[in-house]
This record gives sequence, C-alpha cells and structure tokens, in this order.
Amino acid sequence: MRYVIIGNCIAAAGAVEGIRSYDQKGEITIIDGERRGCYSRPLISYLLAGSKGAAGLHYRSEAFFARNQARVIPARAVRIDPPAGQVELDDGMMIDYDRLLLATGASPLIPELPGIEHPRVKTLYTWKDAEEIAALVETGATAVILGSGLIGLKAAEALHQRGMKVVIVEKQEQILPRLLSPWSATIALRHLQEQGIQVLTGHQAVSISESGEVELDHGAKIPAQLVIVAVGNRPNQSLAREAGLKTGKGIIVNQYLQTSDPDIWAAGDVIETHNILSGAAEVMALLPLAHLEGYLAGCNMAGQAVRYPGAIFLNAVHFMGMHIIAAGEPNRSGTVLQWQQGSSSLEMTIDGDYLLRYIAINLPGITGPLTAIVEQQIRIELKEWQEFIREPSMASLPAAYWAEMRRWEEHGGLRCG
Amino acid sequence: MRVQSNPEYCLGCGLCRLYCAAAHDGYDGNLLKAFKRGTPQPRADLIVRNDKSWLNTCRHCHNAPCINACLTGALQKDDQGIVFIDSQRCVGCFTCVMVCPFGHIQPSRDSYRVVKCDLCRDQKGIPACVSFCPNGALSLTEEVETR
Repeated sequence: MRYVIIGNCIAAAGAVEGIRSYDQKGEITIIDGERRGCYSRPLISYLLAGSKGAAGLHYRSEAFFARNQARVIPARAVRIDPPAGQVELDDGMMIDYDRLLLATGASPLIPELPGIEHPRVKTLYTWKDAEEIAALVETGATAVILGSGLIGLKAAEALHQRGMKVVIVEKQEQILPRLLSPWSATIALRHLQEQGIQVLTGHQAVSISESGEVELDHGAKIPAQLVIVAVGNRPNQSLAREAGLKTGKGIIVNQYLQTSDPDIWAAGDVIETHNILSGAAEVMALLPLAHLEGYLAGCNMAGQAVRYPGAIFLNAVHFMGMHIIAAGEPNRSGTVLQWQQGSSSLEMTIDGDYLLRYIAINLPGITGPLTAIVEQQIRIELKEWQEFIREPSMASLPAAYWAEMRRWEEHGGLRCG
Repeated sequence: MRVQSNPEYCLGCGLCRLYCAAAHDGYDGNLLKAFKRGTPQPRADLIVRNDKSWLNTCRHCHNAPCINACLTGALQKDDQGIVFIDSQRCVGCFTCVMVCPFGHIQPSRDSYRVVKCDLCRDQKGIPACVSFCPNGALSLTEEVETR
C-alpha cells in the first residue's frame, strides 16, 4: 500500500500515527511544500519574539518520521491526477499513490487595498513569514496590526517584546470578535492597553502609502515601519478543486474524513468539519482538531472505519500574561451568567439545560470539564450553574458532571474516534 | 495503566500530593528538600466535595485529547502508554487544560507550563502517591483505557 500525504503539518503527523497504528508495512510519502519539516505554526510568534530558537519549533522531529518510516520529500504538489493515482510535483516528478491525504492547510486572507503589495506589509503564518518580519523589526518604530484575532494578538505580543510600538486596528467594535463576548473583550482590551498596546476598534485600513503610512477609514494616518495583515484565513483547496473533488468553503469530507473520491482523504484546516452544536459543516481551522482529524483519516486510510463525530469551536490563547480560554457557539443566545474576581472572569451562556458557550479569562483550571460539558451536551439545569458560578472551582462543578464522569470511566463512553 | 482513586477509603489527608511533589522536579522523594527549600508542585489535585474526597488522577487515555490538542508536540505517549509532557517544549498555552474532560491537567505554579501525572515514570516501582497513601485509597490498575 502506498500512502501519500500532501502537506507536512499537524494533520500529517497525526495521519502517520494513525496509519502506523494499523499498517506497519505500507510506504508513507509526505510532500513538504514549505520544506521546513513538521513544525508548530503557533510557535512562530515565539520565534519572532526571540523567546524560542529555530530548534524549538518542531512539532514532530525528523527521528519521528524516520522511526515511522515516512519519507519526506521537500517539494510542492502542483496537480493530482485521480484516475492515474498520481501527484505531480513542482520539479516534474510524479508520485504514485493508492491512498492520498490532503493536508494542505490554509493561507492568510489578503484584503484588496491600495498599497497592500508594499514590501513592509507581511502576514504571520509561516516560519518564513516570521523570519521576514524579524528582519524588518526596528526598536521604537511603529508596527500596525490589521486584525485582532489570535494571529494578530500573538504578532502584537511578539513585536511589543521586540521593542516596537504596536497599534492594532480591528474592524469590529471589539477585539477577538470570533472568540469573546463584548463583556469579556472589554476585560481583555483593558489588559492589552495596560501593557502598552494601542487598539483602534471599529476601524479598518483603506490604503497603505509608499512610505508605509497606513490610512484608516476615518482619515487617520499611522506612519508604520511594519504592517501585519491578520484578518483571517482561507483553506488551500485549489489542488482538490482542480482534481474535481467536491468542495464548498473547504474540502467536503464524510464522517470518515473521505472526500468525494474514495481514494482521497482530507484533514486539518482545509476541510469543512461537522460542528456538533450547530449541526452545520463549517471550516473550523483549529489546531487542536488537526491532529485528531489527521489521526482518524490515517486509521481509515489503513482500512479502519473510525467515525469522526465532529467538533466544537474552542481556543486557548495567552498573551502578555493573560490566559483566555473559550469554547462553544459564539452566535447563539441564552441566559448569560458572569463572574469576576481580580483578573479572573468567567462568562457562561446557557440555553435551557445546556451550556452553549463559556469564556474563561485567567481561570484555566475548570475549563476541561466545561469543554466536555459543552461538547458532550451534558444536561445541567440553570439553577445548578447559578450555584456553580458563585464560586467556580473543580469541587463546585454540578453533580451531573461528576455522574457523567463516573459513567465514562465505567463504560469507556467518551465520544471520540 | 493509571492510578485509581477510591473515595470510599480516601481521608483527604493530602499525603499523596506531598509525596507526588517530592517525587518530581529532582527532589528524589525528599519531602524536606521539596517543602522546606524548594517549590513543590504536585501533579494532581485533591478534590473535596460534600463529604467525599479523591485524587483527580490522569486516565492516560487511549487517543488522548490532550495529545491531539497540544500545540507544540510537548505532550506524548511513551511505550508503556504513559501520557507525559516534555516541559522544555511546553509554552503554557493551556490548550491541553481546555480539552482534558477530567480537569486533571493543571497550570504550573508559575503559569508558564502545565503539570500532569506521569505515573512517576522516572522513578523505579509504583507511583509515589500509591506507595504512600496510608489508607489504601489509591491503586495502580491495568484497566482498559477510557477512550
């Protein structure tokens, strides 16, 4: 059996582990378009900040791939020929596959703005990006970050640590709009401002001049040494489209992570994932899902039939000493409970007897159980949550959670793979 | 393989946590060294709820959610099935804390990384918490994994 994986990131590592769980003999070939090995994308902001060296970036080492007898080819895949079972590389070489995994990830969205091609306008998405930005860092000069999502904030933190003045421009009225509620965003914003980051919400850039000056929609102009564009990502699905696979906003897969071609699977940021809570297929480009999806795809490529139940939106991020963890449905309303003490806060949205979403700032300890309660839709009455939120802690978690926990332990009933 | 905690026998004395901390971070099991001169860091919390208490240990899950979610590759499973963390590679993002359904993984004292049960894999013999529990509330089981 010849397994070929396009992309050498988190999902690829998961797939190698999945394939090798069931097939010790098949040939595994990984096509590494970035030619950097299997590294962890979130760590590039630490590289930029100077708090991690290049050696610390790898998610799985070369020894891992050697041990699993996975051959890594430093080349970019340019075309898939499904009837022939071949992948064409940028050097013209053809690679034969019996089973193919597309782990082609995503790329940053680039808004159409006059001046966006300026050499000092960058994205922070790849190892190479981080190196290019590092070369432009100038202590005391201004960096403008377009977008206040996870990448924007991690870029802000890194450049601040490198001694730059940082201005974040966010189109929405709040920071981290996809992660936080207006209430929790206010808490996070205050923290950012206290650390010396300037934040302009409700504004967007309209142009970037030749001298690098960023003009905003209300006419303000910010002279910038560096502009980082972090306004979202989009799945890299051109290979899949050109090969005739079914695609939507991302590659469409079934519950076994198989595409519309039965010999081709897909995993990670490039696919549409079943959102357990909304029931919809959505692009849920979240690193914590990529490894599991790759692993399950790998198991299935090796002949198993392991179902992927889907996922919920979830994120953990820390910047400048603040830890934010949030999970669940951002756009559904319900009863909102809030708790705040010192620098810690918790917000929960409850619909009927179900927890829809929580946002915990500097309160990590209880988030594992809360995520499980959201994901597994454990039924807990509002009055129990009202009791819990008076003093949120592990010990005060509702009895139904502990009962469910015992049931999992007795029956191994956790839904996952 | 995991440490199982029996609330029927647990007195909530917390000796498990003392010996756990002393068994890690190079204290060689020396309580005095850990607690008088060091910064001890137990790997599991004692949960006290109503009239019961128990040590919230790691289940060392099969297809562990913490390993799947780890951003850096710091969380791994060894050949014995023990889920352990390479602290050098942990950046303290707490993604694993967010996805551990049992609430076992916790931030370290300084919040720069996480700590979790490693079944005392660097020591010989059975885990310190099990050895030193005065009431037999903790046991090492080979039971089937929870995932």
